[in-house]
Parts: sequence; structure tokens; C-alpha cells
Amino acid sequence: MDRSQLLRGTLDAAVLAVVAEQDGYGYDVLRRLRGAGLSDVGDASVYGTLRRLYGGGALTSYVMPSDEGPHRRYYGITDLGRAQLDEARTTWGDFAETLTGLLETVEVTA
Amino acid sequence: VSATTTDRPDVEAYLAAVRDELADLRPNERDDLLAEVEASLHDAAEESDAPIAARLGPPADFAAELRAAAGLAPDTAPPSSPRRDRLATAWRSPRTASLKRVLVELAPIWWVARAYVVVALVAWAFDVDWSITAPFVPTVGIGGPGSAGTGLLLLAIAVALSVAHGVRERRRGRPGTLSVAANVFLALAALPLGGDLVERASNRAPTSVYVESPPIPGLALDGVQVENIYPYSREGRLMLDVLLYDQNGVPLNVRPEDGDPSRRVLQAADGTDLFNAFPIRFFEAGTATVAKPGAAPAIRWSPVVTPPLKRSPKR
Repeated sequence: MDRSQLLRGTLDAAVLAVVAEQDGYGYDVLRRLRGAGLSDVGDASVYGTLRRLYGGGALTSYVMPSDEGPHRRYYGITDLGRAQLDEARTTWGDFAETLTGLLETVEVTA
Repeated sequence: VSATTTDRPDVEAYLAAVRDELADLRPNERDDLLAEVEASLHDAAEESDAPIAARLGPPADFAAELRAAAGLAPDTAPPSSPRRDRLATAWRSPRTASLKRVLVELAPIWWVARAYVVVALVAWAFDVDWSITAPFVPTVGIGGPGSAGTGLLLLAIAVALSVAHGVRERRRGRPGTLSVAANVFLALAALPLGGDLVERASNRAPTSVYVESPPIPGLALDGVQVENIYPYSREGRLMLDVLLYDQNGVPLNVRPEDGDPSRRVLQAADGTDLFNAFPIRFFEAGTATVAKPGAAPAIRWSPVVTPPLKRSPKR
């Protein structure tokens, strides 16, 4: 199964989940996604997704001075983002359950 | 856009390449995206010394992924160079619009100029002379060389036609393709023409003209033919059969070729004719006698008071 195809449909939820846990800046979000096991997530995908979620109102953003180097743009989750995350949880839960059931059934019969 | 500074030129180059790839996006949209990318790439670069392109892949792929994730339309436009895109943006800018308005206001100046270019080109093509008094005006046909009259008339007609054409085009709105091409051609032709005119003006023709005439045959004094020479001694006596030579010892032969049988031509012992004997005398018709050997034109004579030269004793 092509993981990149799966990621494409689920990255919004993953990013929302990471930011909901703790506010973060772009590279920080990327690192935490990778740390959580999505090692093959693309840099550009994460940055693009952050901007799109921010543009759609699911994320808020603010600038924080950093100790070393330039100021960093942090993203935090909004109420809208939280609602989207809840919806994604439900959708994914149902989907994963269904697919898991399907795959196990097929494996048994085969 | 953050005020990021870096000592990683590869990061800057990568960002520039990505920016070019996103050239078709609206500027604020692109800046937002790039600000995010820029900060993150610098963060990433701090953690690794590996070349950024090795980790992130080609900028074009990165830009495409960024675009897709951000939910922006892929760049479907034909691969337009960022430079052309910038040009197009500049072309639509309000500053350019006001400049274009000013240029349209000034167009009549060009209408006059192009009329001149047309006349000058024709003058060039037919290699006509240019007026001497007014070096910018070609002379045409009547009026004689150097006269500006007909050239000015022609210019006036050309200007009138050109302005009329310009007004008509302006009323119609958009100029025709042919008209645009003609204007471009004339504008290009104006460049070498301008150079030629500057040259013409800088070595402007002199106001007085020297007419080069063919050299006068025989003897001449200040351009006037000398028909005969009457030598007088310092005592005021007309001398006859005086042989004259120039500074190189060349005999001052006068009309040796005309073969006039009435001319009394002296002869040397070796048989040569002496055409440099003065005054030239003429025989009476049909004879070999000179009627009045001492005849001479009236001269104003006054005794010479300068002491005569003494020959050196040696000679």
C-alpha cells in the first residue's frame, strides 16, 4: 500500500493533532510528525498544509522571538480546528475499523 | 517576511528557486508560503550540514508538493519565466499605467518625428543632397543645390499626413498590426539617421562655397589667363624676344599646341620651337613680317629708383 497516498488524505488530521497537543512552528511540527512515526512525510507537504489550515481558520498563528536566530511563527489550534480534528478522529476511527475488518476477513478466506 | 540571515548560500539559492516556481501565485499568497518555508528551511539547515537539495529534492518538486498541500492550483500556465511574469506584473502596475498615459499624450511628437524620418529615408534612398544652409533638410529637385525650400515643403506635407494618420488611429482606438510594424521600423530607422544628423550638424557645411574649376591652361595670374607678356627693362624699354623659364628651368611655353601659323615662333639652332619667347608676336596675314614689333599695351611707367643689382665678378 502506498503510504504517500494514505498520508495525502490524512495529513490534515495529523497536523491538527500535533498542534492541538502543543503549539509549534513549522520545522517543529515536521519533527514531531516524524518523531511520531510518519518518517516519510514531506517537508513541503507539512508547510503547505500549515498554511492552508491557517488560511481556512483551523489554526491561528503568532510570532515569538527565539533565543537563537530569527523570530518564529508559531501555530496554535482554533475552535474550528478542534472541531475538524474531532470530525477527523471519528472518520478515521470508522474508516480504520472498517478497513481493518475487511483486510482481516480477506486474509482469512484467502 | 522574516528578517532571516544565513551563511548557507545553498538555502538561499534553494529558496530563490522555489520562489521562481511559485511565480504565478498572487504575491501575498506566495510570500506567506515562502515565509513559512524560509524559516523552516533555516531551522532544518541548522541541524544538518548536508546540502539542502539533497535532503529536499529538486526545488520544482518541492514547490509542487507545497502547492498541492496548500491547496493551491498547480502551475498549469505554460512554463513562463519568472522574468516575464515580473514584466507582466510591472506592465499592469499603476505606475506603468500613468507612464503610458503620458506617452500617449506625447505621441504627437512622434508623429512629427516619424514624418521627418520618412522624408530623410527617402532622401537617403535616392541619395539626394542635403541643404547647405539648413543641414537637416534634404533638397529635392527644384531650388538648386543647397536650397532648403522644396525640402521644407516636402517635410511640411509629410508632417501633415503623419499627424492626420495619428489622429485617425487614436480615434479608432487600437492601432493596426501594419501600423505598429511601420512605427517600429521607423523608430529603428531613426537611430542611424539620428547619428548621421548629429555628424552632419557637427561638421556643418561652410557658409561660403568654393567652386572648384578646372585649371586654366597656359599662363595664369590669380586665375586669370595671361595671353601675353611684355617685359620692360628698368630703364623702361620694352624688351623683345625674351625667353622665360620657371623656378625649375622649365620654359614657360604658351599655347605650343595651337599651331597658329600667324604666330611668330622663334627657333633654336637645334631646330626646336621656342614657345616661351615674349612678347608673342603675330605676322601680318600671309606674310612673315611683324607690322609693329614695339607695340605694347599702355602701362603706367615711373622710373625705377632702386639701384641696379651688380653681377658678382665671378660670373
